[in-house]
Amino acid sequence: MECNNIKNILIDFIEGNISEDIKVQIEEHLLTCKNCRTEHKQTRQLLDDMSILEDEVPALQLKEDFYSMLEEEKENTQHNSDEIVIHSKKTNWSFLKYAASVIILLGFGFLLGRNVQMQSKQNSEIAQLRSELYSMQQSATLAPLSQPTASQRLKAVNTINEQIKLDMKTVALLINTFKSDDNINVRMAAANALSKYPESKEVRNAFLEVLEKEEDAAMQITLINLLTQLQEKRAKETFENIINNDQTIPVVKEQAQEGLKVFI
Amino acid sequence: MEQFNDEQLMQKVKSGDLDSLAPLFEKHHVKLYNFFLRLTQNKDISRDLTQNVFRRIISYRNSYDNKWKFKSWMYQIARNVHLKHYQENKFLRSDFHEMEKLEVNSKSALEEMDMASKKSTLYEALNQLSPEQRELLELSRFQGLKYQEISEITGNSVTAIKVKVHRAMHKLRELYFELA
Repeated sequence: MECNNIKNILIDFIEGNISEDIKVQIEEHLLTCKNCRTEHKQTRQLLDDMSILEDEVPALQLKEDFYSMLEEEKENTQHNSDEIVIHSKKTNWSFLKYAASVIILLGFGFLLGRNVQMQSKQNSEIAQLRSELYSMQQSATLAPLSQPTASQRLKAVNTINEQIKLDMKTVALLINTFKSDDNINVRMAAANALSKYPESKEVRNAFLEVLEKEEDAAMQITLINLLTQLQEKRAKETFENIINNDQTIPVVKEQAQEGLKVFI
Repeated sequence: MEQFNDEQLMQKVKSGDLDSLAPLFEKHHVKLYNFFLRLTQNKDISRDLTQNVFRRIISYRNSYDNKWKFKSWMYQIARNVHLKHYQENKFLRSDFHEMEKLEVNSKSALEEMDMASKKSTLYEALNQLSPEQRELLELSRFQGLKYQEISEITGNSVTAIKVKVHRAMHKLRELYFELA
């Protein structure tokens, strides 16, 4: 038997929950394997010691609390059923039927009318809330981009990224972060967020501008991919420069080669 | 007097006979209290949480289905109560020194010291397990529930629980002998 198999049934072995032939196999193994012997000894002691943590008797207060809660609950339910009994004794059933149907009909009409009204009112309220929320999110997310730690800024960029629509101011700030943040991850996240605005000339320009000077390979590859996807023709020259640059690492060159194919 | 099993008693509670909860409380509250005690290591909190479980049993009695074992259902509620407590009080650290003081056994002083130190080492090791592992060991080793019952409570398969319990015991053994 393998040591690993033994380990999995050691507890069952100690507690006698296994068949006789497996028991014999384990016993034989224990004679020859020192590791398993140690493990067996320790497990047995652990199980022994665990039995010290025997159940404690809780303070009497627990019982008292329980029974007073039970009385309270009984009173509550008693109270509820009392009310029902009183009502049913006093009411005249045939009258109740008519009354109920009238009430139901009236109620329906009322609700129907109200619903129509409510809905249009609700819609405009929702629209207003949305726009409030939107402007709140915008202003709340701009400030954190200048926070001291990279993780805070990263979080801010990602929050911006989750928003559906950005105004020009936010895009400009993102471009700024993308160009000049000290942390590569923050810049990467910013690039990712900006890629949602392919129609923006500023975004495309920023991608191009940064790629020309970029030294980080991961960022280079990301930008090459983005510009290729955007079919930005002006990137052709930059891609060629990258390919001809001796400093460029092979993976990046390959990516640029792939990208060039799109423009041919 | 007629004897009812747990499920029958709970069925009676469900149909409005709240007094039938009393025998269920008498039967299970010590185990339940110790379930919380080993997880929180705090007597006051454990008392409150035990009380919460029985309060919830009353509030949710209508959702009890007698195809479930009462015990499994009760521990399911207990888990939720503990989880809620855990999430709300992550900062609270229990201390087991208080517990050691309250040992009232008539053993010799030396023996008692030995037991106390074993106990605190064991708690220390248990504390270093993940909450999930601790809970599993609590249910399987201390509450003595069967794998099948734990499977009903946690929704994991019996095989998965077996493996997890073994891993947790393995980890506990390592920690225990490192600390000892």
